[in-house]
Amino acid sequence: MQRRIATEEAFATPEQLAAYRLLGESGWNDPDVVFWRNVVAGRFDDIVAQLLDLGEGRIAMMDRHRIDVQLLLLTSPGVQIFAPARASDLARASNDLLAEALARHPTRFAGLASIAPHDPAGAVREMERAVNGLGLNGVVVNSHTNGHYLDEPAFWPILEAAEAMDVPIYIHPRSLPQQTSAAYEGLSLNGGIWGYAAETGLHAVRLIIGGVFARFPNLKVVLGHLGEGLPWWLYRLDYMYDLQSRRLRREVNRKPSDYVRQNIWITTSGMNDADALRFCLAKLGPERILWAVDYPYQETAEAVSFLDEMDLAAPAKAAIFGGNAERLFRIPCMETIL
Amino acid sequence: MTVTRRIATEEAFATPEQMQAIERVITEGVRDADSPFWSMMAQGRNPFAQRVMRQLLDLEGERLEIMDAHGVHMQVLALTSPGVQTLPAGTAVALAQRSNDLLAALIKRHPTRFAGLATIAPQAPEAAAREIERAVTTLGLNGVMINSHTANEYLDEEKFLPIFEAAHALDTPIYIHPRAPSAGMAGPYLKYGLETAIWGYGAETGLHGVRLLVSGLFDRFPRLKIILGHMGEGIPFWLWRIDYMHRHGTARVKLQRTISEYFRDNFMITTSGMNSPEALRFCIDLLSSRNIMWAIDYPYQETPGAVEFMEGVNIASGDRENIFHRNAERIFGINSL
Repeated sequence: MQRRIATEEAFATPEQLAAYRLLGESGWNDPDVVFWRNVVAGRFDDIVAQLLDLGEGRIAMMDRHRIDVQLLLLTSPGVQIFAPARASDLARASNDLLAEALARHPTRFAGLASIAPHDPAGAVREMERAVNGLGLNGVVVNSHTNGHYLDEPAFWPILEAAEAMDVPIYIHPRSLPQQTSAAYEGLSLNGGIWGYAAETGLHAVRLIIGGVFARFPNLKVVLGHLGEGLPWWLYRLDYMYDLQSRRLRREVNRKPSDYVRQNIWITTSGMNDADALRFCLAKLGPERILWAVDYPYQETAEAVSFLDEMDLAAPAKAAIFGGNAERLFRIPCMETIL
Repeated sequence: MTVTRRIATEEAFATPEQMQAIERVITEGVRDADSPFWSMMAQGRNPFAQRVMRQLLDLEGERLEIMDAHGVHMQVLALTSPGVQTLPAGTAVALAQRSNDLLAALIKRHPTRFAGLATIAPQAPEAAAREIERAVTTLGLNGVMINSHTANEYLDEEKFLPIFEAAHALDTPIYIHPRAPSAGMAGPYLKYGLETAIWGYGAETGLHGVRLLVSGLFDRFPRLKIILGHMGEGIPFWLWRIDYMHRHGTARVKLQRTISEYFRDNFMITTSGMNSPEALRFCIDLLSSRNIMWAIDYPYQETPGAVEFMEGVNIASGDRENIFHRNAERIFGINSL
């Protein structure tokens, strides 16, 4: 029986939320800081409790919904809203805490390492420690860091390390940077309804067109929300790339869709829509798609039943529910652990 | 066997006066995210710029030849993006009127080959509303085109209400055509030229569509029809999530209906620049073929590719008829054959 592995599942640490609270009190109006100011002010106490629980409550919820494994990520924007040194300290502490949870429940949890992209040398050291020392399964980066994107050369050591260690980088959404979010703010669109995908989809396109995968051909990137719009626009990305290719071809020698099919995996987080999944299957095939819930932000029962009930060939369904995650994130099967 | 009528619904033209005016404001130092593209076009150094500029300015020579060669019966024309929206208000209002006059005269000469959408200057909302009325009732044009943001402002803002009042009263559709992202959001797109059709146009225009959807505009104007190109600028793919997030979110404006209900009843989409069979079939399943119109985006995109796509795509013949011509006849008031 194929295990069900949910691959974009959030947790928080008390230290992280305390730091968010302090940052919120500073009056900084970064959209993510404002979001967390509201959360820690008590408007979403149930969500906070679910984020902080890495023990029995979470496991019981997983049992209720027949979820075998959660791949855990420090909730967005992680440590990326703090000054570099502080961010690296917080990343280490949260990775230690995550590793302890994995040690307590080795068959139920896997996890991605937090890093501080704006401290690239520290981030690389932490990736090596977290993967080789702590046994974590990859890295999460919550889209931009202070308005900067991973295609910029300052971040290349991180990409180089991920490629050398052969671990995926999950690019998770966050709000658009304060300096570019005005058009989204007035109608509350700088969130899951539209802005997160605008931010994260642009990030992924910058990686492709910016030549990141030409430079790091074995780099593995994971995108949530059925690929943050890239599968939908794949035809047009290729067409327009061809039209502009004289300029682009200097650094980017393959079509955008080639890179999407070679370097990018997508998850179903927040997109419990069978038609959209079927579209992505037609474009990318079942081996590129992983199942995710986005606990505790989205409804677990719906995420399970949508894929469970979908009319899909058994091997494809098994690959999406867990087989692809086992391979991509090297989540060992239970027999190996026990 | 009779050939299905083919009406292409997002087809661009330019006037020399418009091209000079756009170039002038760029030379004068008024830069936005569209400027690099139009500087490239004005310099005319590469074959793409030369061909496209020639084909934009040609109205009834090469254009009709290409239509004939590929069996395109009719083009629904609109002044190329960004229309008159980058110009000072006074200049823009006058230029819009002259361009609509020119378009109406062209349609009069070729009534079976061309229909047209009116250009307006949203930066002068009252004048724009008057021009909509003149263009539709006096000139007989078939709708209105607006090229996304105007001076970084979006159409959900109160100041643009007269435009929707006029369009709603006349039951005339508004096509929201792409342009490069507004100044506030354009920064991260500019590094690799992503502000254009490869990514930025969709990001800009999709956001515009979502702003209208959540703004309450369609409670105010329940018969209003908005048209989006490029298979709906990403919104169909995201519609499930938009509904979900709107239902669970802390929206500023309370709406009478769900987002997907507005999208089905108040929006049409066209296939411009998206010759993707999977995307078309997804949209037919989601929205029905009555909500989809065929478009080429001449001269920016290739006519034969768009014709072959729509002829060859594996869909029901009734759906093909709807998309090729029936919906355009209904939405734009084009006489059926």
